[in-house]
Amino acid sequence: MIIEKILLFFQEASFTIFSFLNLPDLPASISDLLSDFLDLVFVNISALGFFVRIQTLVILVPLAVIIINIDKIYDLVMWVLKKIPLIGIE
Amino acid sequence: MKCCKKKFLHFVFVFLLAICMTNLKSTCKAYTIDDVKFFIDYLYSQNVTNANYSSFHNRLGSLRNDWERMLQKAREQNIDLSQYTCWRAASTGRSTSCHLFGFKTSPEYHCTGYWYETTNTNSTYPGILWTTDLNSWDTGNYRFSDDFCALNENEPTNGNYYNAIMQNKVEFPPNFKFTFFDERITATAPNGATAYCVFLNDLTDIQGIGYIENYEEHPDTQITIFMQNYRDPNDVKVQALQPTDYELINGELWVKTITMWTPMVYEIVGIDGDDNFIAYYYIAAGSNTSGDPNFYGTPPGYDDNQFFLWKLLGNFGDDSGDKGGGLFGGLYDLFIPDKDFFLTYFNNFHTWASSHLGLLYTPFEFLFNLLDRIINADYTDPMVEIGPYTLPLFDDFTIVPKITYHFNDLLQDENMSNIHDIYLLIVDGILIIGFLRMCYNKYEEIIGGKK
Repeated sequence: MIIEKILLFFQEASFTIFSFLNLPDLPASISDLLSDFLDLVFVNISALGFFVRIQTLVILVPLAVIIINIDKIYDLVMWVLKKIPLIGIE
Repeated sequence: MKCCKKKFLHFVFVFLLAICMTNLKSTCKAYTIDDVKFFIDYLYSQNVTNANYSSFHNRLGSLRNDWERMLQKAREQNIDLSQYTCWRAASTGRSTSCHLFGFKTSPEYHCTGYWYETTNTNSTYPGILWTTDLNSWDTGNYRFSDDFCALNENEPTNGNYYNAIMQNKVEFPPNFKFTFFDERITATAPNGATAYCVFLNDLTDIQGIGYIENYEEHPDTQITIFMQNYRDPNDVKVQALQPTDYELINGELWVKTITMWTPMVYEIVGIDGDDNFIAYYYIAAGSNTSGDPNFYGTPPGYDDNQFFLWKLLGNFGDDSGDKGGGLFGGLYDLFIPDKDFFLTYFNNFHTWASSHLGLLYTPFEFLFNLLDRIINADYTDPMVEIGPYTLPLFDDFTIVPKITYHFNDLLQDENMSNIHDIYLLIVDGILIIGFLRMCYNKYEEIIGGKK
């Protein structure tokens, strides 16, 4: 509930502050070109499944992201816990 | 300053990655057959605990594979799935399971199911389509489970099922609607009223809340929820759903008709967290002018073909988790947002940024597009497709014809298949060792002060 409120506050605030922004989109020709480029590069991405077990990647990659950022996660958790007087963490 | 910049960039990266993951997870993959879009994302999402019961598919997404095989079988038997008016799916979720897909139709009151025996490799796998007459529905005798599920004493043999479909070609009206939502099932009545039902399930209880969106305009609409669940492994049907105000039908099927805007809560009793537990959920909405809670017919003036829109949400395991009670539960509720919160949050951000930031947001959309392709690629059929490359200025002269190579063709040879399995095992080992090494380095960095 607390985190929800905080995040929603920042979201609403940023939407309000930057609401005047209305920048034009990238020209369709360029975005199509980028899409074609991705098609060219990733059309055969399914072949990856032959060389690596995808289930392994699905498990390991999120774990790796968590481990790499474990200190940030720890800081965030401690920051939240320190806000609770009941626990008494200094 | 440099340190702050680095931290800021790191935060931005993690933030964007979170957006990517959340946004991509919400992508509902459309599966088009005969110009009809099927949204089957839920069938193979991570929340579906269906990966371990099929001896034929040792990977996630078994239901999707089965679904595709069913479509293939339907094509072989000249059944146009786009003409189905409703669809139902069920998975027993056990290791020696049968598997069901069902179709409820009107006005013929035929259903078509898909069934196969995974424990018998000599069966007519990938499936047998069968039909049966459901006219008995109108009599108020609930034969729903008997007719749709193969897990009962009247289970026909494979051959009987097969003969049934061969002798009874099913023709359905040309109205088909089928949509899966992550955790919401919807039914639309012909008068336009739309009913929603949301279920929360954590293997120890189920809560369902149903309502109709535009009830004021359609006060004659009722929503009917059918719940039924089995517990295996002994093929024993166990009554487990205990509605707060219920009606027991035939000793195995709970039916609850509710007045709109009245929330209903169901609780499971007798479920011990067994992985083999499964619950079936059905929802149908229609204009019930007769007031009969067992109403299945079509009200006067409404098109039969549009009346039923059935949805199923089943076997989504312990997705909601056990947050416990007491102080921990209170803290959990206080700090941990709902699981859908981040999805909605980042989707809102994505929508807003796309409309306001224009080309500044393009690199991120490019990144999302990139990850979307990587994550949603079909890795079950690894293939390489090259060409065709043509020269437009020379009458589209083809310099490289289209070449498609399926890697799985290599695995048809048993020796190659064994070698490939060993190779994957080695790759898995390397990845896991690398991961453990990374964990150790992180441990050293945190505990040992290593930079």
